[in-house]
Amino acid sequence: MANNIETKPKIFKKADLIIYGALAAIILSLFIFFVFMVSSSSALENVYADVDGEEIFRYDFNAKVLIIRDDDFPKNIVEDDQTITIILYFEDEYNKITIHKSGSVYMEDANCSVSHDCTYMSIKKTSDTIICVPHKLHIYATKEISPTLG
Amino acid sequence: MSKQLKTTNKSLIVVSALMVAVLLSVFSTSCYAPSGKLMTYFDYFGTISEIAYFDEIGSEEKALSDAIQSALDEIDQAISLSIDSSDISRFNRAPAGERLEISKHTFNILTMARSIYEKTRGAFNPAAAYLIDLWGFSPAPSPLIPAELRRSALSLPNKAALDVFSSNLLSFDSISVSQSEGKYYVTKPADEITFMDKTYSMMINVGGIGKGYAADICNAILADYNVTHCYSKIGVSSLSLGSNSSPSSTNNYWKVKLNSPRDGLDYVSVLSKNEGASTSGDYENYFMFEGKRYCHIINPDTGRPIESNLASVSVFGPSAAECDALSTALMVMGENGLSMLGPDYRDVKYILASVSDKIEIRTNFERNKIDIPSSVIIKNG
Repeated sequence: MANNIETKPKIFKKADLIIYGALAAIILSLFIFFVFMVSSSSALENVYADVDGEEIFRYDFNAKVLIIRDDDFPKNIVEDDQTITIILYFEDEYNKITIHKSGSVYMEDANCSVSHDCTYMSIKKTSDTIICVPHKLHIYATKEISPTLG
Repeated sequence: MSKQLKTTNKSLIVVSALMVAVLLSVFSTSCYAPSGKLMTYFDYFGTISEIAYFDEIGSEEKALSDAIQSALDEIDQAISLSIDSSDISRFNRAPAGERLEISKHTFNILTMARSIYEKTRGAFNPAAAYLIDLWGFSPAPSPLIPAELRRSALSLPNKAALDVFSSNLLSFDSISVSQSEGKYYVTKPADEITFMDKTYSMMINVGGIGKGYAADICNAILADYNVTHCYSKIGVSSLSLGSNSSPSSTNNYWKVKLNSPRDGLDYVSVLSKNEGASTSGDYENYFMFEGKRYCHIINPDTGRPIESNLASVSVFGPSAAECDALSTALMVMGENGLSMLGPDYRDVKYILASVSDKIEIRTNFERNKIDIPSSVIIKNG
């Protein structure tokens, strides 16, 4: 009697289901990583400082490493556990930049103009920039070329 | 049994192929960054100018760069208050009623500014230059105004001076622009006033439209070089957009991120292409005095910095120059200004932001073209 029972053919075998499940898990994790992590504009990964279009230094927030790109540019660097303070010299003038390793950058001081506009600027997310027009200093957080406003 | 095995293998192949396709599409949209060229200039309008393009133009790269730089220089030389020989500086020094020859750029800017002055019923008014100067927001303080009348670290501007200059010399539509035999002219209004033994005639400042105009000109030059995938941005608030060449873009729209009017808060981004854009806000340039915030946008009617509930206005429309002027005008007029703009600006898109504990926005952007974080409150568009 038992031998006469017909079993329905299975569409998926157990091994197939394991493969599908694994593939689905990989796709889901990649999707979450790229859509929610990579495209996030809030977390700073790097910050770059250019003078007249030439990169002077960059800081990698993940590796917590300061990379000097122009050794000859006059500067002074002081580092502690929490911050790196970089003073860039422009003959008699300067910009004092403080990088907080936790993920922000401030223009602490400058003597470039009467109003010292750049000292009101900071970088806390990738769309932020600091610009010191008299010194042609541009500090920014992404190499991606895309428009921002305001 | 063999047939069942074949069916299972076939479905395995189909499902696997679909999954690989999904994977590839996720990778391609996430990892692709279009390679473009960014030209940066620091010498014009007292700010940074960024011109970005994503089309291959081969050996014409240098010629394009020179053409852009030349145009920026021409416009700056024409309208800058910091340059004594500029058309605007000469206009401001000229006696009432004098006719001056000006550049084509100045002619274009004054013509457009006059039109927007009329359409916004004076909310956008380049003739508010004395007031801007008295409040300490002029990039080049005029030698005509005694320093003791201006805002200082210890005091606000002289009240009598504010009253005088908010009641006189503000009729920007009384300037006359003309062209003849390829030359361009402006005639200064004949009105004069005397205040504290000095005679004053109209003074203008086209900073509220000039950077947008320059962005439009840069994009027009890019078009001359067959560049259509591009944008030109002057300062932080004036933008002229071409289209976006990235395959990950939606219908070649740029995703334009707008900076929050208050530090550290998430804000919106919008999809835009082939149009101008501008933002005005109370956060760009302001000072605090006795606990009160005074921003750089002056209401010509009151002679004082605006006191509306708006923290920023972003406008997207036909040109960056118009958007520049309109965003300023809306900051002056407040939310009620939307109903006063009239049919000429019916197609203009806007985002008005006010700030309390959270940011509240009012916008007419289609919902599929604006990304609003959950922390931002949406009011009726």
